[in-house]
Order: sequence, then structure tokens, then C-alpha cells
Amino acid sequence: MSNPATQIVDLKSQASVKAIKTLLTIIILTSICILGFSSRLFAVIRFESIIHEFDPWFNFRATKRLTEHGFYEFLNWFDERAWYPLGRIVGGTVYPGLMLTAGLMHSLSNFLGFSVLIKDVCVFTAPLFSGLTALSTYLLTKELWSEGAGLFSAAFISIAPGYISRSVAGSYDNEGIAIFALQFTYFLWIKAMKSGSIMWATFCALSYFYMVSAWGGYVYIINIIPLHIFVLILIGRFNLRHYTAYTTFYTIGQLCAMNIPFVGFQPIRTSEHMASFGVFGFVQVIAFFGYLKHNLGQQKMKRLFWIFSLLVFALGLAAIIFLTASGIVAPWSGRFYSLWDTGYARIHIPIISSVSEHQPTTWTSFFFDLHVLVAVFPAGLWLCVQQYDDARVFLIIYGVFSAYFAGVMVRLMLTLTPIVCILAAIVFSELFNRYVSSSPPPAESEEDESSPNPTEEELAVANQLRSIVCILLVMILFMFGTHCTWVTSNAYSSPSVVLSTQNRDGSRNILDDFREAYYWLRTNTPDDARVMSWWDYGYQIAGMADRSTLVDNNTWNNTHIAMVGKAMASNEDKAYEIMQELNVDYVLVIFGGVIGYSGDDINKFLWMVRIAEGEHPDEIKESNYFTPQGEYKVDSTAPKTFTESLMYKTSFYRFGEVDHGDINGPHGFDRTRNTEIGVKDIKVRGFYLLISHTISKLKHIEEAFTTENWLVRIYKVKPRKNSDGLIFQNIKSKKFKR
Amino acid sequence: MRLYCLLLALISANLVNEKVTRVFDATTQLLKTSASVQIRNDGKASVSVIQLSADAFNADKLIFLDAKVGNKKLKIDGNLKASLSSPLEPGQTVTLEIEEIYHGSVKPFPTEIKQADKQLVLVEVNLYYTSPYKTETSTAKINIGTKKTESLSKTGKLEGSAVKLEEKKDFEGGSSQKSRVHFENNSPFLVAERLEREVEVSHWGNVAVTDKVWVKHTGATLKGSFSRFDFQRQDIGPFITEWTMILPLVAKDVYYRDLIGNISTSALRQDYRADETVLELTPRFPMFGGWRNHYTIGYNVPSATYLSSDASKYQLKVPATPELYNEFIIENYFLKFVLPEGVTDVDFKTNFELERKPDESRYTFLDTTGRTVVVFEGKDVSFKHAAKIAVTYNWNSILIFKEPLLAISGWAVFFLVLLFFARMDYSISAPVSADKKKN
Repeated sequence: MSNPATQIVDLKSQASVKAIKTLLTIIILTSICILGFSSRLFAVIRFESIIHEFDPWFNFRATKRLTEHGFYEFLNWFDERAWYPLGRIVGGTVYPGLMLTAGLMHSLSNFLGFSVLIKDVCVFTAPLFSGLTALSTYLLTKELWSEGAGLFSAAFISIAPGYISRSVAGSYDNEGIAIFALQFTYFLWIKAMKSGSIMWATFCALSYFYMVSAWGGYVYIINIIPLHIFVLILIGRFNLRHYTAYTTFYTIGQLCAMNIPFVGFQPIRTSEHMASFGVFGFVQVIAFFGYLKHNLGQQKMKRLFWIFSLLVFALGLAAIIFLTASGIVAPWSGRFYSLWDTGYARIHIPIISSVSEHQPTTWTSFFFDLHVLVAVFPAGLWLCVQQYDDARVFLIIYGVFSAYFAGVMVRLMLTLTPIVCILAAIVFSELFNRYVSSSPPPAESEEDESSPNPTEEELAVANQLRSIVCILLVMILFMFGTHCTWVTSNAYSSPSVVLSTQNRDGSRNILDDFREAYYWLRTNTPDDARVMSWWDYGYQIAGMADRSTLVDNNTWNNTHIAMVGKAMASNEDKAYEIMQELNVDYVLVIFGGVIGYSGDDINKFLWMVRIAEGEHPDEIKESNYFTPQGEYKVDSTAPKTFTESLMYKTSFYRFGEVDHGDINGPHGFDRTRNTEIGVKDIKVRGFYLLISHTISKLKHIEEAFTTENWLVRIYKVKPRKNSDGLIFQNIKSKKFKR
Repeated sequence: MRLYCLLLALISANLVNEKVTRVFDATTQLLKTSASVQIRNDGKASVSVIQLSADAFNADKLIFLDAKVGNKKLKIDGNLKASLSSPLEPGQTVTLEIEEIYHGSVKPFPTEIKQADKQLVLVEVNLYYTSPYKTETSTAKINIGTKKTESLSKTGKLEGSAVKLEEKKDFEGGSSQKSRVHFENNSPFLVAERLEREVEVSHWGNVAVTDKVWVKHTGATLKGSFSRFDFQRQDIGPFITEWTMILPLVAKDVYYRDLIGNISTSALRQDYRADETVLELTPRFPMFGGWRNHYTIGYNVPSATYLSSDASKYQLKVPATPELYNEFIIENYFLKFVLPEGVTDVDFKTNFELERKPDESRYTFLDTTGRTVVVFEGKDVSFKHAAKIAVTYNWNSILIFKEPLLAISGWAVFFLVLLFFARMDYSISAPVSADKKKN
């Protein structure tokens, strides 16, 4: 507004400028929302409107349950199909926010007369919320910096791959809506702490409540906001407004959070929440001293204040440690320990480190997910430090901590993305502010008042330099846009339920083996059949095949998972005992050797062994599955323990007879591991033609179904034979002895 | 049933089957019979009703019976009594062409086989012509589509790929003797156990058809394991890997999916000469004996194809069953018509047996009172029925504007509410003067 051109015009036209600005903002934000939505549709266009991956299948199944049986039935849902024979109390072990949101959208649209399938609502929930995320990021950045930066940040967040990876159409997961809740809570928090208004703080608490209902990542908020307050106290900028905002937020927010069955009394009983509790107490003490100071005078109070506050802080800390040690307050959970000590999970909880998204992040993935944003992000942080105020302190804390956590776990890239977008937006907005306008920025001219006015020539050079900088910036942004689209389309838009390969002529070939197997299970096995598979496929089997599973992606019971791992790692006889105990009817394994699919069970097998070893160290030893050279191989050097394991047998059953188009070439060539398998289990009779009808032996199980590309193999567990376990004592019938 | 036939025989013993030629076709899962029967009236009074009967050993499996004199179809009632168009005078003869279809008469035997085994089936028919009347000559032949049999009754003789049964002369009505043949039959034993067809009419110019199909391979069930390795080297056998469905030529937006999404393996081509769209369906997995599958086919057809109107009276004439596959058979059939909101006087006309169930109501896009859903139910419908159904109803065409108006007024109300609330002043304190606000 300080532009000389606008100073001349009267108030009326100033109002119209404002109107145009509002209109422009609305148009830009709308197009950002549309852009964000449509760039997440690659998977739908290329494949179909389908739920992706693993966890979304559970969420979808739960949402279906909710829409079919109603809210209370959903909360009381005991899922007897999961974790056979234990079952799972779903209502109490789930963050219901996502299901409720989708269920609400579904019933609302049906109420308004638009019949939409619940599946489609679920598929498009995440893209819809990406628009809302963009809006709340705009609001947050606008609150913290400027409107221009807000627009930039909205544009960035709508296409940043780090966020798209979790919110493409079909990726129906908690994170899809949680990032919106996260950003919106932060926005409301900034509003509340700036204004000190109880209303905003209450809104903030409600938004926090929504976040708690949606994602376990709410712990992030409940640690960052107290930290913000704590830092404000340390740098001496704490005031009554902050006091009002925080106490209101904390009490209402935590009371609300405790209403989520899955959270329950955690806010007062677990270490993750103790920081916020401590700060809450600390703030009371400070306020109390503030009151005393007001009445007693400054000098007297100063010393008293520090002594007391430190004492209280120390006492509080000691109390927390004592309570934790005595077991009243639960210690930090394993997942949180692994945030501090990256090696923790690998040693203590193999199940956490077996998940690829819990691995530490590499530098390439930072660039891959954020591109230029990660490069300018430190500059944004610097700008915030340089021009800091109470609210911007929050940005600094948010940025620093997110960067640390994202470095620990790939998965937490998701929480880094919003702040990187905001800080990068600030940088770009500042840069453009400086270089776009044809007149020198006022701040600069004030500083340089001592220097003589620039000559005409100097101005011309400056203008040209300016335009060069602008062009370069625009080019970088172009590259960023291209990169985002490319990453989205190539890396994050695969449903992983359906695979596709490219033929040499460029045409696409769809491999639908997973659904083939699951649908076979659904239509051709008894309704109460129990399927044993590695936990990765539990949700998919429950969702698509509608059969009972032993273990699934909700990995709450390590013992049970270890049991399945033990069955897979044991030889057939031992595995049969376990399977009989667990009433297993079918065994499902994923085998990629025919088409070279690397995510198959043989490649995951070592994790099964490790997890089994953790619970049954006497029976399962990881070293027994390696070659004498310490390698993990499936060829002829593979040790007997490995080749006799249920996993090896079920994966490679009759694979030794498969030739790859060449009858004289190697038989049983595993394309995933690029070796010929070691044990083909064929009675060789000399000629290849003759061996084609010999069958390798399985004792207690039989092949029930194998998909077109052998990707999924299902075996039926045979019933126990009548004579099983009998030992013939009669000498005459000795030859029948087993 | 047999007693009933005998009783009838006593009453109308004056009809005589002069010459009967029967041809059984057992090459597929259905036993199809075509018989040519020459009937003479030996009595004194003219006869206008002839009692037909199903094969004595397959009577409960009869799903279709049709009789013709020349090219003229006879009317047949539920007790298989055919009414002649002109009475048969004493001494005169008439030749009936009778067509019958039996479902379940070609029985897999053994009932369980291994993956590599061939499927063997057993067919048992009456050596004599089953009729309440006396028969003078009767010949019969069973086409089996293969040149060798496992076993054969003494009364039959293998000739090429058919079994010729002994000629029988001068036997009384109701005579029966089992004649059986056991042979290889690898044709697909595909049966739709249940089919739900839904026809939704939109007066904006579209008829949407959805077929939900539950199929089963009713041949000999697979015993033991299914090996993909063997299957990939197996050319023929009693398994079903694909079938063809015929859609109308004008069908568009065809989809083929099941409970977990799209099935990517299918081909669609338009056959202009035969005036049809051919949909080649490949199920997700090959179907072996005893295996089931469930899928949904849907498509749109311009309403002009099926819908005709006369003032406010509309007639919707559609094929009552889908042409699911070649020689299909549907055991439990459900047909639903979703008619527009506000229809009255719904009536129907069909050429085969359908039971009308109570109407239902459904709410879809922008519905207020709910659409009328007319429900029909049928049993054992086969490809031979060539079933047509016409549903007529009254509908005021002005109602077509109801939904757009509803949508428009909905938006109008929305904007009005926005306008109203945007102009409200929510501040609790007294309004600040306009000059101060501008700063």
C-alpha cells in the first residue's frame, strides 16, 4: 500500500483494489484446491477407483461397518475375523476420526440426494482434504508472515510430494485428514496465543480434539505447543495472553482427547504427554509469581522467582521420573524411543524396524519429496530468526524438530513437509517482494538514506538484474512443479494392489494376481476359513477376501506374530503342529520369483525369522538360515534349515519344474533373486520330458490355488490323518511304522 | 405325476402315437431333446387337447418344453397339456415337433475328479417314448459328441458320435426302461445359480442395465490340489476359462467388475452384422469343478431402444434375461425395474413364467418420494426361453423438470443463506463508525 501510485488514488479506488485483491486471493486459492485435488488422481485414471495398499483396506472395512451398522455398533465392534483366535476390539483400538469423517460425508451426500458409494467417498477423502490442508496452511502462513507467503505455501503444500505420498486418491489413511487437522490446529493456536482469546483457544482445543480422533501423530502437537510456551518463557516473552491461550487449550483439549476410547487416560498416564502437563504446571507457577510480583515489587521477587521456579521444575521432573519408575505413568513407548535412539528398534523391537517406512531417511528422499523446498527451507528458518516475534518462535521450533524427526524416520517426512512448505514460501515471497516491484523496496531505501540517490544508469542495471533473478526464480519453481508431477505420477500413484508392467511396445500389462487370489479365497473357501499369512497381508485378506486372519497390520501382539513367523520358519512337521494349534485352514504366501517382484515373502523372510527368534530363541536361530559364508541365498548353498522351512517349500513348490521358455535352459530360475533355486525336489529320471510329471512332495499341506503369475500361492492345510501319531508296537506290522 | 399320466391314459386312450423319432443332445451340460411325434385319433370324438409328458427318468429336471405343428406354436399349460389350434377329427393325424430341455440330466460321474482327469458324465433316458398314449413305432438317438463311451446299456449301439437306441414297436402308454450311456464330456458346466438384473429407466434418455451374476461350475468337483504349473500346460479339460456374453449393439459404458473392483481381463467388440456387442469375459481365475464366482456387468442403452410412449402411457420392452453365455441357464432369477418417480398403473406382459413380488421403493439422485421398483422372480430360465418382458406405466412428462428445478432451488437457497449471513453484523459492541473502519 505504500506504493506511490496507490497513495494518490482516493479511498474509493483503494477499496476496489482491496476487493480485487480479495477476489484474486479467492481465485488463486480455489485453483490451488483444484490443482491439489486433480494431481492426486493419477491412480484413479490409470487404474480405477480402488483402495490402495494395506492400512487403507482396514480403514475402508471399518468405514463400511460404520455406514452399515451405525456409530454405536461401530464403537462396540469386536472383530472376530482378525487376530484369530484372539479377535480385536476395533472400537477401542482405532482412531475413529477418519471413518467418522468419511461416514459423515457419505450420509450427508446421500441425505442431499446424491447416491455415492462409500468406496468412492473413501477413495476421494484424502484428495478432498488436501484442499482443506492448502487453505489452512494459507491461513497459518498469513497469520505468521504475510498474505503472499500464505498463497505460496498453499500452492507448495498442495503439490509437495512429501504430502502427496500420503494423500493420493485411494490412499485412505489417517494421515490424509490428519495433516489438515494439524495445520488447522496450529493456525488456531497462533490465533489464540496472539490474541489471548479464550474463544480461539477453545477452537484450537476442538481442532486438536479432531486431530486426536484422527491420528496418533497428535502427540506431536501436544509436545510442540508446550515447547513453544516453554521457549517463550525462557526467552522472557511469556505473557498473560499466552497463559490464557495455553491453559484453555490444555484443559479443554486434553479433556476432549480423553473421550477417544483409544486414547483414554493416556494424557495423564503416559510419558508422551508429561511435557505438556509439566508446562501446564510451570505456567501456573509463573502466573502465581507474576501475581506476587505485582503485589510485592520487582526486586524482592526476582531471586525468589528463579529459586522457586527451578525448584518446582526439578520437583516436577523428579515426580515424573518417580511415577514412571513406579509404573503409575507408562514409560515412553518403543516407537518413541526409536525417535531418539535410531538403533533402538533394530535391537529391541524388530517388528518396528521391519517396516520400511520406519527406516532412517536418506538425503535423496529429502530431495525426492521436497525438491527445491528443502534447499530454501534453512533460509526461511533464518528469516524467522532474524525477524522473530512470539508467534514466529513457533515456526522455528516446528521447523527444527520436524527436520530432526524426519531424519530419523522416513514416515515422519510427512510432518516435515508442511513446515518446509511454509518456510520456503516465506523465502520465495520475500525474494519476489524484493525483486519483482520496479521501485526499490522501502526498507532498503530507508537503510541507505546516507548513500546518494542511484543514477539513471544504476537503476537500469538494477532493473535488469532484478528481472534476471525473477526469471531464475520462476524457472526453479517450474522445475519444482515438473518434479512434483513426475514424482506423483511415477512413485506415489500405484495402488500396489494392482501391479502394472510395460511391454516392449509401450503398452501396459496389468498384473492382478493379488485380487485374483483374494477373490478366489472369497468365493471358494468356507466363510469361516482361517488364513495364515505374514502380517503385511492381514488387512488385505480381511478386506478383499473377507476371511479370518491370524495376524494383521495392527501389530499389537508381538507374540502372535512371532508364532506365525515361527511356523513359517519351521519345517513342515513343526509348522503343522503350530497350524493345527491355531486352526489354520489355508496358508498364503507371496512369491515373486516368476515375474521378479521384489517385495515377496522370501525377501521378507529374515524378518520373520528375527521376530520368531525374539520370542522363541531356543527353536529359531537366525544364523541357521544363512550359508556358511553368512549370506542369505536360495540356491544350492542354502542351508537345510532354510530349504526345509515352510516358507521355502511353499514359495518354491514345483517351481523347479518351471523353465523360462527354454526347455534346455535352467529350470526353476528365480527372477527376483537371479539365481536358480537350490532344492527342486524332483525325482530326476534323466530326461526333461520324463520329469515333467513327477511331483515334489508336500506332506501336510496341498496347493490350493496359485495365481496366474505365481505371485500369490495358497495352500490348504490337510486334516490330520487317522493314523497320525500312532506308533505301531506290533513287530509284524513294523513296516508300517512311520 | 406318473399316476396322473396313467389316469389320463385311461380317459383318452383313443389317441395313438403312430411314429416317434427322438434325438437327444447330451454334448453340453443340458440334455436337449427334439422329438417328432405323429399322432392319430382312433376315437370317435374329435380331440383338441393332447397330453405331453417329459422323459420318465428326467421328469423333475425338465425346464423347458415347446411343441409346434408345422411352424405354429402350441399353447401349453402347466400340466403339459397342449391345445391344438384346430381339433383333431377322428381318423386324422397330426405331427408335433416337440422340444425339451433338461437341466441336471447330464450328471458328472464320478462326481469328484483330479485336475488332470477328464470329466465323465452319465445320461439316462427312457428307451420307450414317454407318453400316456399307445405308441406304434419309436426310434431314438443320443448325440454324445465323442466316438467312444465308457459304458453303454445293451439297448444302445454306438454309431459315430451318437448312440442309437433300439427301435420299439407297439407299446402301451407309460412304458419305461432305463437306457444309459457313460461318456466323456468336457464342455463347460457353467450355471448361474442366481442372477439379479436391474433395469433403471431415466427419461433423460438412458436405460441402465446391471446384471449381478453368481455362477458355479457344476461339473465334477475338483479333488485334491489345483496346480498352476499343470494348468499352464493343460490345453483341454473340464475347466472354464472364459465365456461370451451378448449385449445389444447400442450398449455403451460397459463395465465388468466384482466386489473388490474392476476385472481387467475382458474384450469387447461390436458385431454390426449380427447387431450385437460381444463381450468376452475372462473370470479372475479359471473355474474348476465346484468353484464359484460372482461378478457384475453393467451398461447403458439409449432409452429410444427400449422405451416407447403414447401420450402419458409408456412402454418399456426389454429382453427379460441377459444372454449370459452360450446356452445359459439361470436357476434363481430376479428382475427389477427401477421406474421414474411418480409412475402409476404399472402393468406387465411377458412370454414366460415370472412371479411379480411386492413393489419396492428406492432413493437415488435428487429423489424426494422414491422411485417405484417393480420386482419379478423366476426359476430355471434358460436360453431357449427367448424371454421378453414389457412393462407399461403412466407418467406425466412434466415431472422431468422436477429434479433440475430442485437442484436450482437448492443452490438458490444456499446462496440466499450466504447473502443473508454475510450481511449480518455479529459484533456484540456498538458498530464502529464508517470513517474509523476505513483506517
